Amino acid sequence: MNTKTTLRTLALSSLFLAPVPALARSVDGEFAPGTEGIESLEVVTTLPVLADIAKDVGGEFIHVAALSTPNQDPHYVQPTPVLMQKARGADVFIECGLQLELWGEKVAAGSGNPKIQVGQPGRVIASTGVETLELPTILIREWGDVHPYGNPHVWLDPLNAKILAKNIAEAFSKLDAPHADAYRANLAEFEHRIDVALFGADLVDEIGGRKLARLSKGGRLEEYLEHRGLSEMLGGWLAKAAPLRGRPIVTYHKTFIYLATRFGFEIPIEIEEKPGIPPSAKQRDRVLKLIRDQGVHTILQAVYHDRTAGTYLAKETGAHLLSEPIDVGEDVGIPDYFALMDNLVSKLVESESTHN
Amino acid sequence: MHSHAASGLAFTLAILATAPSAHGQASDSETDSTAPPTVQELLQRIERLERARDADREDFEFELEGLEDDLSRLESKAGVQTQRSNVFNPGITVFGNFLARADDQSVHLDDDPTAPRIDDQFNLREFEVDYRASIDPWTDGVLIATYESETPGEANATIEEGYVIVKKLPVLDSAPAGLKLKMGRFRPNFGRFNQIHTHDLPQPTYPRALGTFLGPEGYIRDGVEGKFFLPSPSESQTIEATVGLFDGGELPIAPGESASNLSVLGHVKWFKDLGKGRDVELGVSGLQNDSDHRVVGLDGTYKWKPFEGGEWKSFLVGGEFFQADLSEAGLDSSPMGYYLWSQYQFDKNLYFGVRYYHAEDLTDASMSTDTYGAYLTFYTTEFFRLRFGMEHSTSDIDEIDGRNTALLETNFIFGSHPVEPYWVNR
Repeated sequence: MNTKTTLRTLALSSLFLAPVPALARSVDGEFAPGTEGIESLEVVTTLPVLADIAKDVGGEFIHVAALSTPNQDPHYVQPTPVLMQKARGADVFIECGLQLELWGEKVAAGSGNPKIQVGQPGRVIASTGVETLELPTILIREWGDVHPYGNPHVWLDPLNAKILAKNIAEAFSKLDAPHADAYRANLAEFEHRIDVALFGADLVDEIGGRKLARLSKGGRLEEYLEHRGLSEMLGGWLAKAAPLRGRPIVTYHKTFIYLATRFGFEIPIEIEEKPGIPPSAKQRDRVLKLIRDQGVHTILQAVYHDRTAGTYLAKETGAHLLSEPIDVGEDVGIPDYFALMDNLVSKLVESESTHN
Repeated sequence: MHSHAASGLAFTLAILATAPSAHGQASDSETDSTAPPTVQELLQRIERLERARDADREDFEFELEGLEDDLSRLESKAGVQTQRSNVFNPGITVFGNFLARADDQSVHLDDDPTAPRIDDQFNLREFEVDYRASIDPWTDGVLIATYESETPGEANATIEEGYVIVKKLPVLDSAPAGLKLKMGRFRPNFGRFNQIHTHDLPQPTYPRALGTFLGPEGYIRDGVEGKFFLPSPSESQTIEATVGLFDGGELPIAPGESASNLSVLGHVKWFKDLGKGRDVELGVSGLQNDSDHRVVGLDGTYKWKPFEGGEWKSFLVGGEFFQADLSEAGLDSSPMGYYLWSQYQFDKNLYFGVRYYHAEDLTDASMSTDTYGAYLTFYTTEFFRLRFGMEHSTSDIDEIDGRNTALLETNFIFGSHPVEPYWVNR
């Protein structure tokens, strides 16, 4: 090696590298909170709905920001440098998981923040413990965009929202032990609000949210209430959604399986031929025939999906096309999780009851 | 589960305890009224107790069945909750890239008349296996083995990239300024297209301008590189810097240089989120092989990808400029080159793009080549792509001047495709 050249090169490199520690101090001083004596946890979430739940659970002890917006397809968010920078100062990175936000890994890795890498306490997979639906029995690409761990749109079942909140509360409690009691109390309040919103206050007082949740998950709530002569006491979203039970509703993508399971409507077919693959003309005709044969009143899709096929089918069959947000935020006029579920249930019931 | 059973039992005991008490109260009241209970009253009491007992039994039955359901669910879910694992195997992706070309004149490899002809041929030009995994809490590893072919039937097996990224050190809780240290063999952070592999290119081939200065497949070298954030003026902007040291030589701008003369690389990138799915990025790069062989680059990209329906429509426009500063006999002192390109997405699977590039010859800057091209890309899914392109070149080099080329590219991927650079749509 030419010694002179090498020395010159190293000297030049050191000029580049010298500012790094200084920059680190100034950057960290400005953006990154310390972990000792935490005043508030810095939290980033992949989805706004997770930010909303985290806010309910964390209350005044956290500061939270979502990396995506509610009108973006959560599968395909661009992991830009701005998102990486947002994640750089975070103590907690919350994702739904189940391979929904593959871009999240790129953001976490690009942030250079060791606290939020996979396996660290600051990396929270909120869907842990959720009983996933549509677990594929065979994993092949021939089936389209398959999620190997099951359908990831879990938050559209309010009972799953309680699990997401529980996982978030546990993470906050570990990372910020002095406020663990507050997080647990906030979690209990959130769970109670979900129970009341889902079953109605009277029934929750009479039976208890835990038991109602178990009965509902087991598909035995209606039967139980009939046995006990308490059917009239059912309130909340479930009472409101009564007209949906057993109704066939066509969806664009496999987005609404958890919503359908909780509120009892059927999804006989998706407009997409296979997950992530736009419908061919043949598939569109297949859906058209099914809508007519089964008397489908409603076509439901997430706000970020293309409306071309849905509009065509609605026009041909007279079904209502509902293009609704599945996440929360000002951009879509949905302030929080409760408003999100209110909106979905109300729009579906309205569509089903006003069909000619 | 135990608490449910216990509360149920407590509830039953409470009912049973209440029943005699109620009976006792009734007896007291009846005693007060000095009248013994009638048969009718006793029958009613019995009926009330039976109803309470039946309701309680139903409660227990539901409890038991619920527990049974819970148990079966837990049993069926055993082992399902692991959402990530690369303990036993890394994430593996296989890429295949096939190119067919038709030309209206003979074309030689690297436009060297003594090299083999490549016109009017099919060629599996790349077959790549990508392995990646976390190595331990501090490092991630990537290994990309490539079988690449410039002429049909002749191929080289190489390690295109093999590196570790050090995310933090055992002695530090967190890396300063988000520093990520990359060590091994990889594509150094120079400009735009040099960062991406052939199969991720939004065009059928690398632009000639890039190939002229950095090599036909881009600049790939062994070395070490650090990437970190600089303070940014606002939340919607970032400034990232990269510095690197690499083995020297083996570059078109420094053909005869030794690998032992370390090259120095610097790159600064400014990114701004303009809102509503629009962003702009500008970069400046510099690479010094030694004081006699340097190249600088400028790059810019604007992207629009709306939030709603962003998978169906998008627009990209960008360009990159190269200027070399050379002091070597046989090379021109300051050759330059650049390319401009744009791409519009018509629907989920269909893209149309155009590009133009200008490249001066390194040995004689007065000799340049200009190429105009258009291409249409169709994806069945992100795992399979067809691309058709047409190009026309004018050049001061006779072998290239007036050349018309049609290109048909097929790209296929199996395995867990890693996410592409954020500005590449597919």
